[in-house]
Amino acid sequence: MDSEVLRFESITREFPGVKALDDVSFSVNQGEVFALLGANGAGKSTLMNILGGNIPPSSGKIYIDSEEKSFSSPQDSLNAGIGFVHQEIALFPTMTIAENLFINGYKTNTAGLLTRKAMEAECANLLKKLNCNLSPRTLVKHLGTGDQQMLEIARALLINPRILILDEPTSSLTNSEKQRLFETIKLLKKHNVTVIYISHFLDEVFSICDRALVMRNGRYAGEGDIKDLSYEKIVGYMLGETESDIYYSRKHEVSCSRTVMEIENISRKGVLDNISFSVKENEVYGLWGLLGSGRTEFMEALAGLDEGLDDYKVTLKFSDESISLKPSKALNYFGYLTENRRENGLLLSYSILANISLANLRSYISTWPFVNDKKIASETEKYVEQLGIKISDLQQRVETLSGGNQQKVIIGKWIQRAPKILLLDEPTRGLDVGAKRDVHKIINDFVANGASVIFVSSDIDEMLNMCDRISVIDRGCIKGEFKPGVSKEKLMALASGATEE
Amino acid sequence: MNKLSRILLAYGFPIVLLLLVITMSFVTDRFLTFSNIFGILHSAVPLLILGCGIAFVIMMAELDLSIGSLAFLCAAISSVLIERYEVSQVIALPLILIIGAVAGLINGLVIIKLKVSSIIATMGAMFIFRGLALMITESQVVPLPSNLSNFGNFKIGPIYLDIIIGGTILFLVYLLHQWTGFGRRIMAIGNSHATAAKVGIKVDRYIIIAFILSGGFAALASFFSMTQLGSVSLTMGVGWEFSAIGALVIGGISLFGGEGSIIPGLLLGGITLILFENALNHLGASPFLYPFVRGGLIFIAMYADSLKRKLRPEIQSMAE
Repeated sequence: MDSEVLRFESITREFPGVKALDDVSFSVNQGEVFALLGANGAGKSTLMNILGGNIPPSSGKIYIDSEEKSFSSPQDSLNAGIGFVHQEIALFPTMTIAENLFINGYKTNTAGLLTRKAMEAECANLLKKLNCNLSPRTLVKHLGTGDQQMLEIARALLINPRILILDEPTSSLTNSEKQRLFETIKLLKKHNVTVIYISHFLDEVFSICDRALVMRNGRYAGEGDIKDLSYEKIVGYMLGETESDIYYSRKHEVSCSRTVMEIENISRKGVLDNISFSVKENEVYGLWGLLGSGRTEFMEALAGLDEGLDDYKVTLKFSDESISLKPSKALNYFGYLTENRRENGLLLSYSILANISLANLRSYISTWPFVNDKKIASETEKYVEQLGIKISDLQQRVETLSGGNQQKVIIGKWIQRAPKILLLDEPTRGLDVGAKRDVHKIINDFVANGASVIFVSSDIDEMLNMCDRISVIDRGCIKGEFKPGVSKEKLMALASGATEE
Repeated sequence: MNKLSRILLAYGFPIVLLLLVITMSFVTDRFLTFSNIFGILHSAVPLLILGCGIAFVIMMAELDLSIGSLAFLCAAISSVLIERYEVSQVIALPLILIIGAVAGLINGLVIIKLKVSSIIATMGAMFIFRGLALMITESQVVPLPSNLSNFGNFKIGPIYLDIIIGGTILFLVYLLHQWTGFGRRIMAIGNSHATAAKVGIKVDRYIIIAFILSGGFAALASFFSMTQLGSVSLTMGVGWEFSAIGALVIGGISLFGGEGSIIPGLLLGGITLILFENALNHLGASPFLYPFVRGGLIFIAMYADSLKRKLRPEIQSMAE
């Protein structure tokens, strides 16, 4: 059982200005569930993309069964028996499930035409094994995210892989879907398949993995059998320091209790039901709810992006005047960080410079109508430094940054505009421990300077740690408002439908 | 979005088509006759063949504006070879298929190797091909020998021969698109070039092949058109690319890529375009009205395409 199936030897990968992987060597055994851990930007994804044939290494060797292999395309990697489930869903929405599953090798008859029946039968069989009750002819665009994720896994399994790479497979799954995935992993293990499991959720790693390896800044940081590792030890490897508390701990003191925003009523039939609360200066106001509770819909509505609202009564209170806010003017006062940073928050192919200055171009005009490039550069530099964004050059394209740094770029964009109120929807989702703490610190500094934040997160510990007050939202209704001392169980119960006694 | 508009979006053009046929059969007595129906199909053949090639390009969310001029170039070369240099038809006619394919290959290579956007690259090619063709024909109409125009209008019973040939070609292209790995990968690339590359599809190679097909079918369409007309005029191919794109969009093949079908999509779209012109003809409308109606149809189809696009997130959330 302990026979080595995969070995990396001195893998190095350089991108312009960055060494994404630096002399990484380790081996993985047959039939084990191997966790690959590390902060965002630690090089996990780069390493897996090398194994998956998406990018070549600058130097170093990959051995499979002690035989040296080089992968110049994803197809080569597939042929070597490596299945890859990408972090971002790589499916084709306008095509059927069966068509998506067999994209790497359609079955054809002697005339070269597809044998759809045979493929659909095999597909249905496989989906059944994964407890997925879907017709192979369903178009992928009609599936929810969880099902799409299972489909990705099914596609990787189709080639009967010897090694299966799962890159953040649970980030968009519900609890029951997660359980289904874990069952599948156990099943695979029984069949002696090696699983390389990448995740930020250490509880998952502890429950299903056999061994874990931690990377840091493109280098090997430590490894061990899961039973010999502790939460603190892993976080320690990740951060490279002895200190291992995961959250930036915020002091909950509202120094000034002046109300800055009064939300009297935001309603949309069937979605948001008479939402009202007020936000104070220097406050992080938390909105806690489960997926689909209406929290994101509320943030969108508050930012004035929902045109179908039935009611929108929001008053902003500045020291000298009160403004009754119109939805169309909302973004003049708010900064809004959306849930999907890659789609809605960034121009991925643009430079960091362009992205950070984008929301604020008007203030860089020195001689109308021309913007002052030098001013933009110096200001941007200031924010990059202040937020600790790791880059090689201001002209670097945002798509080449890690998730955490991308998130900081978006936050930088809004903070630069100095809005009085910042709406943050899942600002730390998908970020590693280190980046999370950075973001927390940025938020803390931001409110300390007299601004306010409305904060939405799925992570209940994070909510309790960051927020000065927390409201629970469930199916579009506010179910109660709490101080951070409230118990997790209570919040969870309320959010999942219980009523407050 | 209520149910009615959903139905209209999904089945809009078949419904319009049906209404048109019903109205016309009441208004004129010669519209719904066999000879008129076959006449319509006959004149739709070049457009449908042209659409077969460019369909693959559009389904990958690229564009080929050069096909009209390329069709003219192919017709010009073959007709000049046959008429002025007395080259055998057996050599001159198959030659244009090669010319079309090579022209498509060049388009594809320019787009991939020089990283030029397909609109710009093929727009340049559009002018170049037309210029070449005008030089070759010396800006004169070239007549074709009578055996070719006889072929183009040859009938078996009431049915034109080229309807049968065109229909067969259309069916083969349908198989290529719907029933082969090639066709499915084209659709995958149309969904997202990046995702397709990630799962190991050689996107560049497929784009080049799609442009070769587009060029080849433009050559084939020029053959059908010139044999129908019996000569190659100087305005041949003008605006063909837009008629073909219009037929595709009317038939539900999205300009955003990844969506649509050859049968029924392209078939219905092409017939709709021709049918409207035929109806106008029967009503004795001024020929100047044709482009207006055609433009209106294409505009409506594009709008419907964009509406469907907007609708998609809603459909998705309903499924969740």
